[in-house]
Amino acid sequence: MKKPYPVPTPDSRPFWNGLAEQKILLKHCRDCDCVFHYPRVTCPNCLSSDLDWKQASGQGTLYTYTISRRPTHPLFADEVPQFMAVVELEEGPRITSTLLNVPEDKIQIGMALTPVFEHNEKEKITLLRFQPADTALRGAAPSAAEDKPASASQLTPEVLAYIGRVSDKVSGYPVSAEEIRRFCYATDDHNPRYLSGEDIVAPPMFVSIPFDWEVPMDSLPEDGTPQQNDGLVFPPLKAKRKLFGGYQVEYFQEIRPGDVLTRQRKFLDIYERSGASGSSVFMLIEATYTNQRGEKVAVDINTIINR
Amino acid sequence: MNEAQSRYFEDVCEGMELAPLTKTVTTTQMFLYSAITRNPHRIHYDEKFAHSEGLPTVLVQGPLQGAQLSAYVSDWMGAGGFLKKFTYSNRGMALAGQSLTLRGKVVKKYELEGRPAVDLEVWEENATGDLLVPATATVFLPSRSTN
Repeated sequence: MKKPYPVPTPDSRPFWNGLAEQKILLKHCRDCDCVFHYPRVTCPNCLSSDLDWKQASGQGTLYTYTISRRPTHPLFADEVPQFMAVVELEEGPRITSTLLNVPEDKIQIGMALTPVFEHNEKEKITLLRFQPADTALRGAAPSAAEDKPASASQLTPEVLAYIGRVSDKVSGYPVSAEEIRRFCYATDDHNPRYLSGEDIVAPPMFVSIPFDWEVPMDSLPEDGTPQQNDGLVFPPLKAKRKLFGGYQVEYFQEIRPGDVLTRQRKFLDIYERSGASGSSVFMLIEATYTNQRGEKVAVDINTIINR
Repeated sequence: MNEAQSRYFEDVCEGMELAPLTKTVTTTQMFLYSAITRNPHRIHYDEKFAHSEGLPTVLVQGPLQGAQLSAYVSDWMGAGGFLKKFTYSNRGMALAGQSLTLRGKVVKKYELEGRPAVDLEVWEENATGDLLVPATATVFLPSRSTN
């Protein structure tokens, strides 16, 4: 898959052609004199179709911004941190763009901006970005390449592509009073609600027990880390050592002996943190549990640290 | 701890502390926990392998610490309560044989989804007071007025 670039349409082509000539062209209504962006065939103010193009001065101010530290798509991994901005042009319309040539701590809402026409010869397209109008505020933004050399980051596009992947839906073995007891004895939990009486329930942390490790021994990695047989494969990482990082859960139902739970897992997020001892990759895996009546029982998130 | 009785919403106030509870996880318990979770991860039972990963000895399973904190909350709330949300984070390593203390306090009393609810902060620390596992819990408690 290759990185997507804008595809000019009949309505927007003059705008993109204008950028190639270092001009920002805005649609202008000859009936009500309104100027607007993005390009449309009807004036959003008076619905007139009598429109032409008007060149903007290019000067604008920063209306709002956000910093994207992780790519929304693996193909944009080379652009983070991305300073996504809404720029209000002198003529009124607001344009969604990105800021260049500015250190993070110099970005301020309301700052004066001037356009940068970024031509991509290979793609035959010019992109519109913005930079501070005041040259004193300009400076190198930490590019992904400078911040963490591509060779050092473990978050390759291949790894990032795992985010959002889902497992098969798998049924666990039926919950039994005996298994609940074994779990309580192993966790040193003597709560009578789990151990005796007519209406035994499982302790909350039991929820994943019917799904734990079930693969042949020769499929286990060297360190013996448990593998699941639900089709959710871990991404290939240089960091091989695994540690449990944490857990969050929300419950909707009690779990009782005789229940058969079904689980589906998903890679919610994968991100990297650098520390003194090198970089660690955090994997967040979300699981949704339902019971034999189709009722949602719990949703949990496990954090696994690879270092 | 054995608390079959209910704790009522009206009897709880913000700032209330939970009685501390000290436990020591032995290698026997770690074996039982690896068995029930069918967890063959070697850092929990193979000391030589644990050394090869830079660990001083075998490591207490993170989810076992979480289960202890969850049980600590469930014991506190009693039979009429329901653990709605629970979150914990394994910050520091716990090693076999160390004494670990669970502590907690009530941080908020309110209504959630039309039911009386309480937010708790609970945590596990080691003998020198280092915070190992911070956790938060939201529990539904029974109310005397509806009983």
